[in-house]
Amino acid sequence: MSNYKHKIAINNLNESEKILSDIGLKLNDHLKSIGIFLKDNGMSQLSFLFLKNISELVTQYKCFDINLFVQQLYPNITDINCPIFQCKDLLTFNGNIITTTISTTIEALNYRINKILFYIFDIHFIQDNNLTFNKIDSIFHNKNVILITRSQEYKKIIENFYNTKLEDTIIENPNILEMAKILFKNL
Amino acid sequence: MHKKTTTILVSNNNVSTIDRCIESIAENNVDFIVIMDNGSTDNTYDLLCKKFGAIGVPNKYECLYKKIPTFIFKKQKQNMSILINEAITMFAEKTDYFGIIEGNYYYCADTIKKINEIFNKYNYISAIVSNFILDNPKQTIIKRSFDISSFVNNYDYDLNMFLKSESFFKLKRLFDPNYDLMCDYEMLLTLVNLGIIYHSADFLFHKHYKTDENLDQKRKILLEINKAKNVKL
Repeated sequence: MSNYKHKIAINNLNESEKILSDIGLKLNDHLKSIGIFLKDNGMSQLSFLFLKNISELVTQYKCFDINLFVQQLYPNITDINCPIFQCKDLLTFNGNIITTTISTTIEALNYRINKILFYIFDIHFIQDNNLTFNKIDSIFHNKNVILITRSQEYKKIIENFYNTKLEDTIIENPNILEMAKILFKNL
Repeated sequence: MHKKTTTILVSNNNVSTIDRCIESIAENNVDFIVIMDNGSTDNTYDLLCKKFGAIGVPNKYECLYKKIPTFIFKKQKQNMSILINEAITMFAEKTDYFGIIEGNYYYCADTIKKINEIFNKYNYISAIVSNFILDNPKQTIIKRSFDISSFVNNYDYDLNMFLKSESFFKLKRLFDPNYDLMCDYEMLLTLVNLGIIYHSADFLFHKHYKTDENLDQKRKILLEINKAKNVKL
């Protein structure tokens, strides 16, 4: 008697192996868990698009373990299919992380994290005078931090302003799968 | 299916800049142009009448400018939201998207094309805003994308935005004439409830750089004040 649940599990395994092989990973690698660090989960373009993308990704791909970390908790805009943690729980998190704002990247640098992908959604922090040189240097001249922007214009502005090199790929709206590909290439 | 857009241009004392603004709108292949002159005193309306070939200075005028139907209205000076409400209610049945622009701004090369792409791609958007480029010193004005925390701390949007006509009529009271558009927080909050205010990564607007003509006089006054202070010290 063959167990039908066993068959489903094997199918899922095969699927996840295929998906991971596209990115260049194996099932036994400890790199599947991805953390997404948002400022808040309230009403904003960034958090809404991320949450929507997470729910799509989790239903489609079963091999990713996505954890959401948040600095401020608000009532959710949409339904979420992944666990939400406070930023202090990054202490026990063992994986790579995608940050979305300056404050989240500064906070993530305090914890023991392998690679940080800073997805630069807004560039209003250029006009912020409170950012010290040390903070800027720790983000924009750090080998462990990968930088991605939304558009070519943003890329030019940041490269001129902070004298750094950004990734060539541009992600207009939050797409975790593409971000994961870039993360795993740079490991 | 082609979706129609109208741009509503609200001008107030923009003689030097309005010509460039209208040309940029026409270059973007908009379906309708509506120009509301908000009681300007520097003959902008006369210039508009000359430009579109009107006889005399009528309060209303219709014509085809570069094969685009254009409408000009002369109004007494009042709150901008009243004018925008009027203009949108007039053209709501004919159009799908509204673009609102001030006289001292102008569109980039492919703004309307980009906006159509964004509106078609995402159904859950109610309005689109963007950063803009200052013309003369090549500098960009960067704004924060709309979220609640930034909204509470410091709000920095102007009326240059693109709206869906559906979402506009779900605002029960339309734009509130008792407030400036800059301070109409409730309107923005209701817009957020209807859909996301999308902050596009591409720059959609240019702004004319206005040189201060009285700068030398101001400097002289400042110098005199400083001298007076030194004497006292």
